[in-house]
Amino acid sequence: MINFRNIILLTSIIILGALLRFNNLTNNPPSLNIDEVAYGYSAYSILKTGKDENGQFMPIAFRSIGDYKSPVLIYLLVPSIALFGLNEFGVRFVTALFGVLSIPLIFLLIKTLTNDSKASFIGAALLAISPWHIYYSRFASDHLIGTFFLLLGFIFFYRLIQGFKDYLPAALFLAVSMYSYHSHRLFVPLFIGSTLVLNRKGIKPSSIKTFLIIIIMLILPLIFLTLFGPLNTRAQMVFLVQDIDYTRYVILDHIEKSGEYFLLIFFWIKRFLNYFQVDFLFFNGLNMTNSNILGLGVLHLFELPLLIFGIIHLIRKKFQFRILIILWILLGLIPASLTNNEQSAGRSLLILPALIMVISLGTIYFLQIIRNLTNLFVKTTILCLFTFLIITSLIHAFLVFSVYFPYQQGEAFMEGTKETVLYALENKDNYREIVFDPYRGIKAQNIVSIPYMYLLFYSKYDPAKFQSEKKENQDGAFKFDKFAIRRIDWREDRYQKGVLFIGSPWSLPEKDIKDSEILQKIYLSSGDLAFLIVSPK
Amino acid sequence: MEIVKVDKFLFFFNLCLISIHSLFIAFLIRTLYPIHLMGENLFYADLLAKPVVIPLWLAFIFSNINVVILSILSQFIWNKRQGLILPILYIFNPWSTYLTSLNSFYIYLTSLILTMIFGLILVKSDYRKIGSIVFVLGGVLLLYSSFVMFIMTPLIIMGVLILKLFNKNDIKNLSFWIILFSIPLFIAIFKNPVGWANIYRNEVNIYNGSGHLSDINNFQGQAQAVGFKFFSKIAENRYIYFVKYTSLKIIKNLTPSTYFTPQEKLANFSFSPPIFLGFLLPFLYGVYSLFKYSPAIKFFGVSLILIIPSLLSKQFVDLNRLVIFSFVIFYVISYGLIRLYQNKKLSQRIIFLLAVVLVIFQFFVTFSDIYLREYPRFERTFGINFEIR
Repeated sequence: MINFRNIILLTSIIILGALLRFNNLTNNPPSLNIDEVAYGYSAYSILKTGKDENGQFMPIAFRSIGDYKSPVLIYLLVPSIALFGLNEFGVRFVTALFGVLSIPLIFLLIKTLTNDSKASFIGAALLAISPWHIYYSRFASDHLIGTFFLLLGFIFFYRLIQGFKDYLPAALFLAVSMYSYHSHRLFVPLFIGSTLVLNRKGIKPSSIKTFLIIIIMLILPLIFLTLFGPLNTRAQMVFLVQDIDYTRYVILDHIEKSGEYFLLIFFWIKRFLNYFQVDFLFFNGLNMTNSNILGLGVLHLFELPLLIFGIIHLIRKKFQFRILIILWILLGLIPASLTNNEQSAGRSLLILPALIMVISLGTIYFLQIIRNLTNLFVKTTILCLFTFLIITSLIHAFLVFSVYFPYQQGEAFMEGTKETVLYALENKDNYREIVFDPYRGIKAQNIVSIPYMYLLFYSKYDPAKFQSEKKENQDGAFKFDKFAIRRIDWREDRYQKGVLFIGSPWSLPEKDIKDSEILQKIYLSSGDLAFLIVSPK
Repeated sequence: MEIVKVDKFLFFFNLCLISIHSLFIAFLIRTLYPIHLMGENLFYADLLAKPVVIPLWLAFIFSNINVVILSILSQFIWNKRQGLILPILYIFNPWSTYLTSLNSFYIYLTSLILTMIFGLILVKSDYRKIGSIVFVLGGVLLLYSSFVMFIMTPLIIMGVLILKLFNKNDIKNLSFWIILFSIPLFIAIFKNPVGWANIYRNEVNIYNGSGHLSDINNFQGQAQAVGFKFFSKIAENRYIYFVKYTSLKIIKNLTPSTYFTPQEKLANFSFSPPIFLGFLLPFLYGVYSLFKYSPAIKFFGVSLILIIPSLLSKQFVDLNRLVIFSFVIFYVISYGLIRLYQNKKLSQRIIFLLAVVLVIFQFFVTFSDIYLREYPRFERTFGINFEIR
């Protein structure tokens, strides 16, 4: 029977989640990052020509800016860009929408697994305000899309285990999740395999056979691309053996070959256990600020005691799916820990629903303990302290998202590139060539931006023309139309009249340039000078 | 006296342990020499402005004394066969061996702490006289040796009193003797307040050097600029910051990956884990069993005081200082291993076997890695400055 109070409650939670994801979406994060621009232009290219910018017809793996991108987000962006145009909102709308839609899904998942309405509402509320989920909902990210389809797939998969004949949607959504993000390609088979082995007695073999046949059929192209195609290259690029810490510090650049692979095993285990570090979970896992202590972890600090209660609850209370929740967390971290990052919040996002489930169960357990306390003073003190912890955590998260993150991490999102590109496009006709230096950075020239993608994106460059156009790629320079992407050497370039130069103060040193030659300065939100636009006179 | 009448087996067993431990230390010294940790002055000598540093050969002796005390202690706690595990864990894991070979001051302090515990157990086992002497000797030497221990020893005694682990009157009497013998130390402190302040500054670095206040000011300034001064004052003031910082430090010092992976580097450069990873599962099982079955959980609670020196350090986790807590971890692992072994369930037998296999495997990998790469690793980290601060 439909309970209107519950519907209103769930709707309120969804509205809260939508507000947190859609509010000021185009300006925070402060700029589109390289991947977002690439996703957007690939989708635009598909919309206009049915081909990606390299001329491939409806590809399964998109070759873009030195990487192979998963197809699902790009295809999902096509209607969004058709509707809202090739702009910030058009690119970010899809992930924000899927972020909001994940809220009712986690509600359904917890309800399916535990049949506990309270835990389901708590889970939905926690996901609605989860910094991890909000962060990845606010820019075009395939991590979030993959996790959305994972949630959807698991709901049907669990129903399948419970005896419902949901093999088609389960297989379909899990397969889509595998197409959505790289981590899922390893996690989904591992998880399905372990679940089926652990629940082999309670499952109808015929349903599972059908499920397995469908999912294998659906992922055959993916298996082929992963084993023999370009995705293999991508996997090798990000694999743990390429890790700088491993090569430079552990095996010392192959100083002595023997035992390297044994060390790799222990290095991997270290990486795996890193994901359980408290600073990643509660202090600075999202890397949204420059400070470790005043940063934001993937979970709120007030969730720490609830997580502990949840773990105790999982150990003490035996319910049917507890082992699956534990497996979800442990197996979910395998793909992320196998890659060459210390800790990657994006690659490990897929374990968030499982963590939310544990925290929800912990909340219920915590409330039970509080309710059973007879000493009023102790009860009041604990509640007051916990409320204070919640309030300060939420205020801190609000400040990080709305103030510190755009202020401190603008550069990570290529802030300023849009302004340079718009200037170049406006003044294109006045110059014979426009040169962009791809290297930027405030403290050092350590960030490689891909300005040509921004040029394509903001000029809405005709994809058909770009696909067929002759692109020069010589002497480290990439040229198309009037644009050249190359390093600027001001000692030589200062004599090139009629050319517009756009670069960071590292390549265009202010002291060596006449004031009349500087046409514009572009600053980050933090006030640091990011770019100079210069034309020699 | 029965305590002196150690049977032949245990005598030879301890002799074997000492030999193996010495071999490991010699191997590490041979591999890593002349790398060493910066020497720390004895507290009392420092106050008298006559610095005295524990030499390597003494650290070597104290490390072997630790093996013997642990062996005797574990015989008190468990039966003969099970009691062999604790000292074996101590010598086979890289932590103490590594730090001994680098001449860690905290190996010596570990001996004194173990001596105190040994004294208390003797007192409880009705060897009151000898137990009291051992306890007081350990306590007094501890106070005279290290400033941090000067702060911690009263805390440990208070913890023992509060949790009623031992007879209240016994502890009071023993504390009285410790205080009495420490009068010269108090006089030295009283006479040299400047020296005391300097030692304090050197030893206690919990909030030093990481620009905490400037972090808070920057954040508050940014929030103020957009009109969120009030919110920022609530959520980002210095009190909350320090609570967060301290909590993070405490939790990091109690996180298993600190002990079982090279997450925190031994002597700031090594890739050897303090304790082999294979012991992680027995450790977790040991913690679980302690909470569920054992009255020893109170001892475990008091022993957490031993992480204080690491908390007072500049680093988040200081494995050198934390080595005084190592025997507690080894105790929990031993307990976990014993319970796993006693349990007849197949799953727990498998965990036991897995742990053993993984440990043997990692033992060879680690020691070959130390032999082949640790010295170049050190050079890559610190260059040719062989003293680690």
